[in-house]
Amino acid sequence: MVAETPADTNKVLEVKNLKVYFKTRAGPVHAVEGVSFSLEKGESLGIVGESGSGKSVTSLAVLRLLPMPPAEIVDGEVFFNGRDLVDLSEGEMRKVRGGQIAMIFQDPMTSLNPVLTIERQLTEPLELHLGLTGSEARSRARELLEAVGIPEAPRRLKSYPHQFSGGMRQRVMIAIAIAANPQLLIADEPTTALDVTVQAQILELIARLRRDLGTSVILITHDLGVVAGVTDRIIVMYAGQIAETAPTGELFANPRHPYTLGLLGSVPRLDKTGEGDLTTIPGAPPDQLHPLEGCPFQPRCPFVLDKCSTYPPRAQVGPNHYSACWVDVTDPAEQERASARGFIPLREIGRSDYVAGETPSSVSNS
Amino acid sequence: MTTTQPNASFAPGASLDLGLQLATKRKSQLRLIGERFLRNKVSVFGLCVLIIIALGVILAPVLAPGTKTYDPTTTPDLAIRFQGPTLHHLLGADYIGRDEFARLLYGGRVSMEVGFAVAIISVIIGVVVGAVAGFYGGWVDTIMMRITDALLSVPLLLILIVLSKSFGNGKISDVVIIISAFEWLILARIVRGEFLALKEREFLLAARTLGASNVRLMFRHILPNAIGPIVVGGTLAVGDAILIESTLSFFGFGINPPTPSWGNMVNDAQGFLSSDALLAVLPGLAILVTVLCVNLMGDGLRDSLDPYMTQR
Amino acid sequence: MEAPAAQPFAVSTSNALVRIEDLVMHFPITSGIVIQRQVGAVRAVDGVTLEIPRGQTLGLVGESGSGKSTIGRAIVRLYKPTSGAMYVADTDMARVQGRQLRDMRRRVQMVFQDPYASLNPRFTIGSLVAEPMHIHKTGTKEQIIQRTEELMDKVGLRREFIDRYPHEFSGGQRQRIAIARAISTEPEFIIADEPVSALDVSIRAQILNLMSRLQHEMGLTYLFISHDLSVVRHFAQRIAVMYLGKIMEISDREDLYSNPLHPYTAALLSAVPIPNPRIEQHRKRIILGGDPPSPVNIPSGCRFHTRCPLAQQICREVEPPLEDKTGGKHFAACHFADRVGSLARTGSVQGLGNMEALPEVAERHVEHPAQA
Repeated sequence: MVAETPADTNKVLEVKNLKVYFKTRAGPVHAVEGVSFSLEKGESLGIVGESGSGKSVTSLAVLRLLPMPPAEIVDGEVFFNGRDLVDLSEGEMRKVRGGQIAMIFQDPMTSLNPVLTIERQLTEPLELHLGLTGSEARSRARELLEAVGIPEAPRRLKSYPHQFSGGMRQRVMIAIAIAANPQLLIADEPTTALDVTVQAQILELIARLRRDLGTSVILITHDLGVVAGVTDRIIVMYAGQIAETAPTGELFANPRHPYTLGLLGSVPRLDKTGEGDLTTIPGAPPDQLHPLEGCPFQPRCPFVLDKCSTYPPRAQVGPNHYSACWVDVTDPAEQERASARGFIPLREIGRSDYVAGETPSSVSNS
Repeated sequence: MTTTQPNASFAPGASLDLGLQLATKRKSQLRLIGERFLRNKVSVFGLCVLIIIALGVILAPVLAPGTKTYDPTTTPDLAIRFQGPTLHHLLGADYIGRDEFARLLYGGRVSMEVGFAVAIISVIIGVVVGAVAGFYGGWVDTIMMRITDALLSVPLLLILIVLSKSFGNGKISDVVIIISAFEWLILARIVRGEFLALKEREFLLAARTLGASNVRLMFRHILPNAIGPIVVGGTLAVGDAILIESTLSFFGFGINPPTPSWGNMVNDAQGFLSSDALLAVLPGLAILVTVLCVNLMGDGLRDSLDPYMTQR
Repeated sequence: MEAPAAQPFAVSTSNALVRIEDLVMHFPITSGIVIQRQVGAVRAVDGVTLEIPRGQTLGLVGESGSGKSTIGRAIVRLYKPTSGAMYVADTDMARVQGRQLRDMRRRVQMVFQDPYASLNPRFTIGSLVAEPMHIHKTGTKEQIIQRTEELMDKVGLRREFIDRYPHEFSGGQRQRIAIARAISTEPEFIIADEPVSALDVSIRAQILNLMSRLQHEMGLTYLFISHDLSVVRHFAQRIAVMYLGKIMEISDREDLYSNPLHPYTAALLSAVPIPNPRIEQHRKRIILGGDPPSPVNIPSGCRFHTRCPLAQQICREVEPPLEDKTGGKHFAACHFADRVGSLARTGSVQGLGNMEALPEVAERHVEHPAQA
């Protein structure tokens, strides 16, 4: 029953052609439409997309946390250490979740049980997954809280979730997540609900987690800034599909998909003063109930061609860099054509420093 | 269709909305609500049955014309006591020989009048009082709610019986007033709860910053959002009133005989349940069907007033 | 309540449309069921003075609980301020009532953060946009309908949508509806409370561009409230940073970002991720310890001292006034404003645990079925 692959020992997670649909009265919503990626040991992967891009559904499907029905994994395989998670029984899956794969969510309050003390919620996975005794688990719980920087750990262990602030709760979630030495941590918009200064704390914690414990991390976010600092590789998702994937530096320096270009151009930048308008991606996010034939980005794309009505193949455009687009956006002729539709290259709107990479003096550091 | 012709751009200021493509013709609000209502088959069925019943009671003089020389509803004819259905008397006759079919129709007039009159009066009073209490809060709310608490805590039937004994003289209007005096309390509580919750919503803050007056906030901004529970409360009130009237009649405090109402018909028939069950079953069934249909219709009405139910 | 800092803006520029003077907004906390006693107060806004020149944008930045939204809501009089004055075109919004207040509400409009919550779900788009015009009776029914359609053009909504309901629209389109409504009575001053925070990244730019286009066309003055420093930097010419009900620093945009004079501003700036990995990898962050204190128990002295990497004894005792630090228009409330620059260069990390110190734990009798 357990599907074995000639496991590449370095691959912690491998997702192949994952398709997830939601059944609704009006028809199936194509939430994830054939997503493939893999993650190596100790690697940090960012999945970027807007609401409805399927980034969260992908991760929830990996952990089989989607309510089924209405959700359904229509196709695809998810190998974790060479084992296909899609075929596991619910009982075996429970051991994987919270054990080898841990997950933290946007709103820590909804993922903590309000009527149990933090200690109880921390010791449970320790006893369950690591087989520690009660007292061992309690002392480990204290160490974990200290590790994530919660002061007065012994006292705080006896507290209930509502007695913590949002940032502290997210730290508790991280403590719970790392309790059973997971190989993979999936963080779904872990900082979206938090203030900027607290976001910085949590991101730093996640970075240390990876550095000090060697955990692989998948960071799911809508914020390109968040992934820039803490990931090795980025997947840009649009309409349930992977638009572009590249090593982090490469993606920012040499974006190849029109959607990525649009995203980079439309983000206001802390290190750039707004002179004039931001570039925009016109139109509204895609409607996954009525997916388009071919490339889902075509109605919003300035580079659009006739052949975009067939879905473009995943093309390798650089080392480890793939883009699902028919057009070579770096070709001056193509840019010329697109500019007739209003496309403005990043360098002309003062956002080309991805290439130059100089540190603008306006960012008050170094 | 603009979808096939992408005029997309990254240009500053370009702001074409390509989301909702299908342009529809303008339709009036009423028409939209009507269309949504008609989509709900069960409610339409309820409405149809109600219309049939209403037509029946309105056309009573035509459908059950006076037989020979007497008014069939009130004039007894001892010769046909307990007669079964015949061609002449479609549903037979009651214990003193009155035509049962005619009495059902005329009795329906009373019951439905009571039901709808009570519902309308209670909804109007209940909405105004509940809205004021919920919107302003404070002492207005406290006083109003304590009064309704006090009234609701006393056994309703007991008060109704006492009241109708003291003040009622069996006229329909008296029965309506007495029942309404209590029925509106329930509506007021429902409306107050809705207003209390809705007045904190952000769209209401937004309306306030636009400069809307309190009356406008209450009746233009909040009320449409509370319409669902009000419609449900109103339809329940129709059923309630018909049942309460029946109960009052059953105890002899409702509409005075010989004027028939479904309630006092059931009451009159109680002595003959074992021998002539039909005399009780028919008016009982009439009450049941009417109340059920009103509720079915109310459900549909609530849904049709909800913009979220629109399908385009 | 402490005495206001010596009028930092005594030199009132004549072109200021909005002047807020020592605004205080305390929400009482009561206890008791029958007899209610005040047992404390949420000091949401604790003495704020600022002004906005006509046609300009002031960005008001702060984290949750800083009181930035309360200021916005106080100006449109969703709350009655505890004390202080709020002049909009020489009318004190804190004191107006009745007809005058309604008239001012025509001239001062607000755009809320969440377009899903701020549009009445029972109203059609047309009636939402037309509502202020009906309230203020700006014309006949036909004129209002015509103007509604013009407004929809102006904000980039198709006229055909006029009879649709808000739930049929995406977040960005809803925010356009809210903006059309806000400009329908030709206001002078618009308070935008986190207008793009609830929107997708690609949609944010559309809304920001729309707002700045309207500003140019209509000569609007904005108070732009946001937690997002990148958005504020793009949008506002002058920026005020709030912390726990007070302004910590207020300055022109360039000055604030290149040369912050308050450690809180410096920490905020360093915390914002920049979508450029080359910058990110070399940035020095100032990571503050803990969370902001509750506005019910505001720390003594400088309210930021509990999290401040520069805090000294004097900070616990003496509240620093918001004063001009550069002889220009750059005000900061810090005893050690001159040390903020070096703090920003070196960075500082507080209150994070040590994961390296986490001892290894041996796993026991836990099967790993796949490892075979």
